[in-house]
Amino acid sequence: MQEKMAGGRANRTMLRLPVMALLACLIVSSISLIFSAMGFKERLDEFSKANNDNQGWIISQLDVDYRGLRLVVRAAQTPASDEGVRISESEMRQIRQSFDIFYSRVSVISSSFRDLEVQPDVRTKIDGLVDARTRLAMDVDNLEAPYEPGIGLLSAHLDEMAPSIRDVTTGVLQTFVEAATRAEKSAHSLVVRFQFEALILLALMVISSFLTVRLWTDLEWRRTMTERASENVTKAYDASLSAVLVTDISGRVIQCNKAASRILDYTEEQILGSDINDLCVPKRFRDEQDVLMEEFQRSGHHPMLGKGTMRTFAERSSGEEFPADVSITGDFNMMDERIFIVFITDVSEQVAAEERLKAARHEAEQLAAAKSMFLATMSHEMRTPLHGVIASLELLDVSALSEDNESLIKTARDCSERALLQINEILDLIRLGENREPDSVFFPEELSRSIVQELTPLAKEKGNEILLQVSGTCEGRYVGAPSAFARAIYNLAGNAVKFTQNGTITVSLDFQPGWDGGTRLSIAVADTGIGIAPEDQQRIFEEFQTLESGGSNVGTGLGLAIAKMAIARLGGDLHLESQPGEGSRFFFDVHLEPDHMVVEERTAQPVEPETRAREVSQILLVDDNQVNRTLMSRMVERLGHHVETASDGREAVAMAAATHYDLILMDVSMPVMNGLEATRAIRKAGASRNTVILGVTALVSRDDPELRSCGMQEVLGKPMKLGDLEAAFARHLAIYDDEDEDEAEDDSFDPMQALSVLVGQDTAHALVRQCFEDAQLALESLRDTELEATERARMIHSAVGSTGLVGLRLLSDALSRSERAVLSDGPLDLSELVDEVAEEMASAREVFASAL
Amino acid sequence: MQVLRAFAIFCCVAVISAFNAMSAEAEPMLVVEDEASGTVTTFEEADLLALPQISFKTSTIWTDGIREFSGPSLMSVLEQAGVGSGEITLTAINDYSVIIRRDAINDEAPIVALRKNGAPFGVRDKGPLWIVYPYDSTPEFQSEAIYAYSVWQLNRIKVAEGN
Repeated sequence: MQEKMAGGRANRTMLRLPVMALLACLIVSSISLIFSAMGFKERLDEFSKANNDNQGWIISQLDVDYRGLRLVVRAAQTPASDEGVRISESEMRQIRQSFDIFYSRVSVISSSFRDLEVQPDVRTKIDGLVDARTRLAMDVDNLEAPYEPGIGLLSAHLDEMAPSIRDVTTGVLQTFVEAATRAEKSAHSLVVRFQFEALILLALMVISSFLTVRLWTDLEWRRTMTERASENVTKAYDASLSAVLVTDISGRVIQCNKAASRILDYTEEQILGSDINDLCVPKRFRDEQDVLMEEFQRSGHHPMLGKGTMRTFAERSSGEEFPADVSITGDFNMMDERIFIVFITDVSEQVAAEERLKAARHEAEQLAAAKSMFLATMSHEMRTPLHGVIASLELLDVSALSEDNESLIKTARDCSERALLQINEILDLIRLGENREPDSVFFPEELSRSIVQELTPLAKEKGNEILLQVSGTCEGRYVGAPSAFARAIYNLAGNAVKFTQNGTITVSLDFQPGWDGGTRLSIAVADTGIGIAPEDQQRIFEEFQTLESGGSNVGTGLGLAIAKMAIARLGGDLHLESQPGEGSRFFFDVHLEPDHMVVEERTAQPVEPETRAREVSQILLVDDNQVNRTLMSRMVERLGHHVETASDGREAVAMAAATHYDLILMDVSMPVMNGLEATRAIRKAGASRNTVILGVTALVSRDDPELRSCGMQEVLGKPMKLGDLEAAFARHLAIYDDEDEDEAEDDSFDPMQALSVLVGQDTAHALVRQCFEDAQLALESLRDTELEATERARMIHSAVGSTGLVGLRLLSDALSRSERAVLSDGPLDLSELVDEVAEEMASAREVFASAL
Repeated sequence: MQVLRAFAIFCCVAVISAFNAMSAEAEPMLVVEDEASGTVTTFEEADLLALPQISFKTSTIWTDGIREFSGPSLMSVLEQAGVGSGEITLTAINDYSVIIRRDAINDEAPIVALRKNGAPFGVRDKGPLWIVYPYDSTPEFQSEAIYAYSVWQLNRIKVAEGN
């Protein structure tokens, strides 16, 4: 249709040229015809207006009159008898008359040929003739009876005149011949010009005829096309599934198609002439429509006119309403009056189908939500008892058991850990599926580093090395989904560690400038493990899939699914490259917006406790769950502190107001008053308003900013192990910062034992050895002033992490300070720090003597 | 009627005879002969002056300059002579003779001029009678036919029998 219209336009332009040419031809033809006609008229006028009398006659009459006069004079001179010449009166009268005639003839010739283009000599001859005639007139006038010898003199003068008469006659005739020749030439050129003009006219006529024929053909063709188009339109109009109603400006129907009578259930006769509002607008809309029509008549504006299809309702003759797609177009009829074309499509079936679909989708969504809810609830409900199992197993005094039983306990521990892991992963998956995490600021590089560090022990256990490679320009802070990011990397790297033995796992981050100022972060986790066969590569991304070849190290099968979902949450797409036996490489790209806003330090500074250095701290434990309360209390006691418990927020607030506690462990979700409200209440007033409050939670994301804003220093995850709790105490209770106190504590706290309890004796030994190697390297780099600051810092940093992990806090602290000193711009005096680190290492060696 | 006509003819003949008898030598200024009726009417200067005079100024191709011509219209002369509807032949003293078309004669033109610039003119000046059209007034009077009808030294008009 578009093409056809374009073609029509082109045709019109093509047609314009011949029409203009034809017009030009006709104008030029007409003008030249007019000019030709005018020219001819002029010529004709010139011919019809004779400037001269018949001059040939006049000149020939000169000779005639001359000879007549001579005859009369001779006759008079001829003697009638022997008596001699006798001239009678009557002869005399004849002579006078003949002379007068001759006289007037000469006058005529003299006047007639004055303007004639005669040669000067002819003119002279005429003048001579006039003079001779005048002299002759004197002869004639002087004649008196008896006339002789006057007649004789006259006769002699007449004879003398003869050559002059002949000269004038021939001279003038010669002039005539020349004039005739000129006239003939002029006539010839006139004819030539006429022929030329006729030729031009002929050419113009030929061109005009050609153009006329062409125009006529074009018009004929266009007429055919128009007819065909109109035929097509009519067919389409009749065959249309939509009702088409054409109305005049008042809304009266003047034309309708077959579909109109079928859809509206009226006969065509009933439709024609009816008001369209009465015909098909439902009764409840009629008043509104009438107002719109009135408004339209006044302002020429109708909300539906030319606005495309609108979904509304129409009415059949039975009064039945049906959903309809209606569109109204304005146009003009042949009389240039406004008309409207109204299209009504019955969409009742379509609407019904859409509604069915909507209902089905709603049902499916509800089912999915119910499933998620069920899973979440189940997992949570299972977690609490499991939490109890793990904690109980942890607290079990293994040393008192037989070796068989010890092994059984280990199995029980492993199994419960695995069960917890599985539940946690299912919860992760559900959470990711619900996509609840809002974007917040995070540090991708640091986050990745901490994950790598976290996985390092596990990797080492399997003889693997795990590395973090960062390239490109890292802006530090980015806006994104930190927990999704962490889950993706944790799961990919964790999987890699699981499926690799004595190999290398490389987590690489590449920051590159992306579109519109953002950063494109390419993340890859590569291992040198067993690899994945091509036929399995697709399958492993599905939930609960593990490969048979995975051997004893099979996971829950959810790791990759979680990673994939987390990456989808980040806006990326997970890819895999793998060669069986050579290793696998999982990689994805995400787009991150750098966060340039300067925000306050996210890590809240611990509040300085009012009373310091108490050997036994007063701890308040708040939890609604009895099992949790008991287990946590035992853990706290085992760490050597005094514990009091509260079973809900309100109770806790009352106790905190009355007594000062050194630290409060606050469960976040509780009945009566939850942890957040309770924390706010405690912070407002009372003996414990400045106490460190640590949130404890299992369900909600620990990064939830609300948890920080309510006044908690830190939020710990559930279930908690002894080590976690101790580490948290170490971070927040002053006693651990105090060196003297630390010394005192050393007696009651054996880091090696704690580590063995946590990771098993063998691993603990390996970790400690690794830790001392790292620390030794750090010490060397501290002493090596040649080394570059960042390289030194890197070496030291790695030792900070590992020493912290095994519980050598003093050494870790000293190393941490060294790291900062190395990186600071000020003058470097590291000798004190070097000494301190060396000292701490020496004392640590004593502590871990058994392991080294 | 016949009697009256016969009487008229007789009168005319009588007049002509008497005139001829009185001045045997002098010919009449203009003779109009109607062949149909056989009458011959003669006009002397006084007769022509007695008719309504028409006067105009014009140039002619045979003379120099513009002159004033006056005299009775040819039509009035013919009417005066009571001629029929036959062919009209104008003849001059020099025997020039032309048949004039009826439609070349109307109430205004040509005139039988017998005064030029208010004075009579003789044979030497194409007189005494000259058929003159007002040539300058319209190009219609500038055709060869009109020039041919412009007979000078006019002395006879013959009207042939009508058909």
